[in-house]
Amino acid sequence: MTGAPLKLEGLSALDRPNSYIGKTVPRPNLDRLMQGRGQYVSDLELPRMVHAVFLRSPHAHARIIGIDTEAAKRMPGVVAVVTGEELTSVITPWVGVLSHLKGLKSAPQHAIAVDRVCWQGEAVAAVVATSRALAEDAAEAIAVEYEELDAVTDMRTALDPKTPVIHAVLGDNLAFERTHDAGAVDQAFADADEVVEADFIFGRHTGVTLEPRAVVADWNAAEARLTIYQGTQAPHMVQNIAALHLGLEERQVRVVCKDVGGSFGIKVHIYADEMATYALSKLLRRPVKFAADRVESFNTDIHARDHRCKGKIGIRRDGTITAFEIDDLTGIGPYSMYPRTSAIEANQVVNLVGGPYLTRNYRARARVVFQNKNVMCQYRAVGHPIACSVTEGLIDLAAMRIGMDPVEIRRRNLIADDAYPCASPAGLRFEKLSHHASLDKLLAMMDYDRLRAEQAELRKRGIHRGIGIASFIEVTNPSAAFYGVGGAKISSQDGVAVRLDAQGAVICQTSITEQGQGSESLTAQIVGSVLGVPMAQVRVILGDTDNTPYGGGTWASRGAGIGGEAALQATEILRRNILDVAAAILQSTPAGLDIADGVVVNAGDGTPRIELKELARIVYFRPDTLPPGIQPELMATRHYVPRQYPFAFTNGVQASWLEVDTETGFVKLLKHWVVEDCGTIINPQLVDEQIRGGVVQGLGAALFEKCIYGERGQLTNASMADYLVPMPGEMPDIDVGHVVSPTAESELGAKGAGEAGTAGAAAAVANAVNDALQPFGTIITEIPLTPQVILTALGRF
Amino acid sequence: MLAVQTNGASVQTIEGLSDCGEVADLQAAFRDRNALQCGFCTPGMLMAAQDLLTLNADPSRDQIREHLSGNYCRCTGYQAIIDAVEATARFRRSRTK
Repeated sequence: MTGAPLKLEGLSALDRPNSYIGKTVPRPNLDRLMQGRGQYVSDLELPRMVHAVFLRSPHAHARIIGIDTEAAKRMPGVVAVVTGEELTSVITPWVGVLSHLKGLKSAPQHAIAVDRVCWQGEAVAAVVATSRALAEDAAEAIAVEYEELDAVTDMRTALDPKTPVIHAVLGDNLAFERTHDAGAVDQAFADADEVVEADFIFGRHTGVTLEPRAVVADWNAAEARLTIYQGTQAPHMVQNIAALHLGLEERQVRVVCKDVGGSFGIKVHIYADEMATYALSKLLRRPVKFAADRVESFNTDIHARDHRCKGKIGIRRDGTITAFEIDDLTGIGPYSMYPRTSAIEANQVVNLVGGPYLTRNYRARARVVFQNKNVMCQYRAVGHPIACSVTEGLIDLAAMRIGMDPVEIRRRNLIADDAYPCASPAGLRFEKLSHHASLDKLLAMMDYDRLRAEQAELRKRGIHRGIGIASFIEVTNPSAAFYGVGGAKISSQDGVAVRLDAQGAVICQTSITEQGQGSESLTAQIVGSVLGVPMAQVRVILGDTDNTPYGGGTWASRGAGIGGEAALQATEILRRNILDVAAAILQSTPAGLDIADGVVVNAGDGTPRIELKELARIVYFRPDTLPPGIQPELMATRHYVPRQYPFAFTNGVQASWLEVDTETGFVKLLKHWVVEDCGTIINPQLVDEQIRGGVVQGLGAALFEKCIYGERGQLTNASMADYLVPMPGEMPDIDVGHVVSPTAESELGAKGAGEAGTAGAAAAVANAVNDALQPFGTIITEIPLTPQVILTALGRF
Repeated sequence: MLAVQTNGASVQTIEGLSDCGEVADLQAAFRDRNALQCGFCTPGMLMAAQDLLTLNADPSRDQIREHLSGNYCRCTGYQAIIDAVEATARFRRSRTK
């Protein structure tokens, strides 16, 4: 541990014998979830609450000629039927751009469509009724006259001069373009012995959270205050945006977020139908609930990863990579999402390609185009799976071309573990990564040489198994460089307030949020360790803008590294304050005392002196007995944001072992391995489970998941029957190992781990499939790797 | 399942199973193994697992995966759930020996 740790007899507070850091301890909030007693917004009922249902466009692109709501208004239970035009009196439109993404443009988006719909599923009217069922019935009675317009659906032709421009005011369908040119790329390709090119295709997919998006908005006209109950990752961001567009001050908006049924980036954005729900509550002056059904989720939850990326790699016969070049194209739907924008994923792809490797020669272009499909935006491991699949796919193709083992080519090109700090070809700064140590550990875990022998043996019997390796880097602990510098009011700092209650227990309020990652647990582990109290005595409060410090929330793998460090620093202050009081009571000195297991003890020999419970009793109820001049302060607040590095990069490597049935095209995943380096590990089990869950999301993308659109912009598989997600039967066991390189920027040393699994899983699988199919001389660079894709590549479909 | 399909049947809820202690060991195994994250699928996973364990006291990992394949979890990647069910089966067998 570096930084300026609090030293206790030569040990940091985190290294003390009773520390919870680095230990697997159960999360404190599990019983209520396991007993069906969680508090999800979907289950929330308030007095006078009514239900909003949105009538959604059946067309991908159409002009709204007229909306007749009269019949719907007369239906049973209906409180109001509201069109987009009517809602503009309550809420203003928005434009999803950020100033640091130079040239990014988008058009004003309304809470409910005004004059024109731009994707199938965009809301055209809201029905508010006493039940969801009655509102749905009434929605069927609304008559909308549309004039269908040409839909822009194929991103490859979106920029053609003859393709209609979706937003005439923008001039064209190009939302954003970024180019990057580092080193001497042309010379590097000229110097290469071989140049390999491939087109990588990524299916558009989505989050499919167990609990669909849900919100209850409650405008109290007498208080002039809006309370929003919402499953969100970023309560303060929601507070800011709701206030901004409803014409309120932030203090007039409270966002409450209790249990959230999955998020993965799906619930870190502002959606039009949620904005409409806030506005409807203000308009109707009563609580309004909107809970998306599954069809609405598929049609309106952000999609992700709809990329086509041309890749090129230069290689020498000795295995040296001379250059990377990419040309990425992605279609984001008709609007850039708000407020994080839909340019971030393409921007990340440019940032991350080639990131683990030595070559400085890198040229990239990324173009982001509008289409008449559902909006696309940031989903778990933003851009990472694209960049990793392109980079690692190219490396395997290069290795095949020169006849080198995939492990050997990586060994020769991965940045050396002692070369840090250094920068990537895209200009990203790395503090400390461990590619080689991670690869070594992975090979030992998977017994690489034995697997290769097994593969060769089985191949003689017509069984086609493959091994795929994928190294990756991962963006975590983002500073203001992500959003703040572009003008978004999305905090990059987090705050923690910690106090001793009157019975000597600890109340901790944090601005990070919990969606199952273990935010409550890691906070309680840190507070308990630093203060010297059992974790069971630490109560963590989060997800309430009225009752937590201001902060970013939980996204981009920032909870442990940023929120955890704030908890550590706040608790160090509280500890110091407690010892000051204890010293006064005990006629000792703070340095002569320590806290262990909820008791103030002698630092030297651990002799118990006073229980925290007794200290709290004196402070709160008998301060008259304290020496003159002592004013105890048993509450401390600290905020933290990384400043030295814009992002704390982590790294890792994954491997897939699978079998391809060349008759049916089915892929059977046999085993998956991950080694990753997230710095200090607070709770090993929670980190491993983040990795495993992330891997399986990546495996879904690799094999199953795709939002399939027809030519006219119709989503054809918007149901759980037609959109395939990974289920228990198809998933392999996943072994997880770690290398630990703490960040020296914080005392805690923790980096993030939430994206790592998703970042490299698809790349490992795709490389393994191509490895398995080597005898057939076929290469596939498209995911999902469905039986149809595989059989087509084998010429058997 | 539609409500009318439960006509004449007995309906068990996770609240009921929790309060009577019938799945307490399974819940403890889920807790120890962190076999849940957001928790939204967990009642369904617990009940499906309990169903399996009443039918088969010694299921293989593949049988556990197969039995739970009607239940979707987006957070865990399933392995922790399979581990917890396997551990509960082992625990229950040791108890009845």
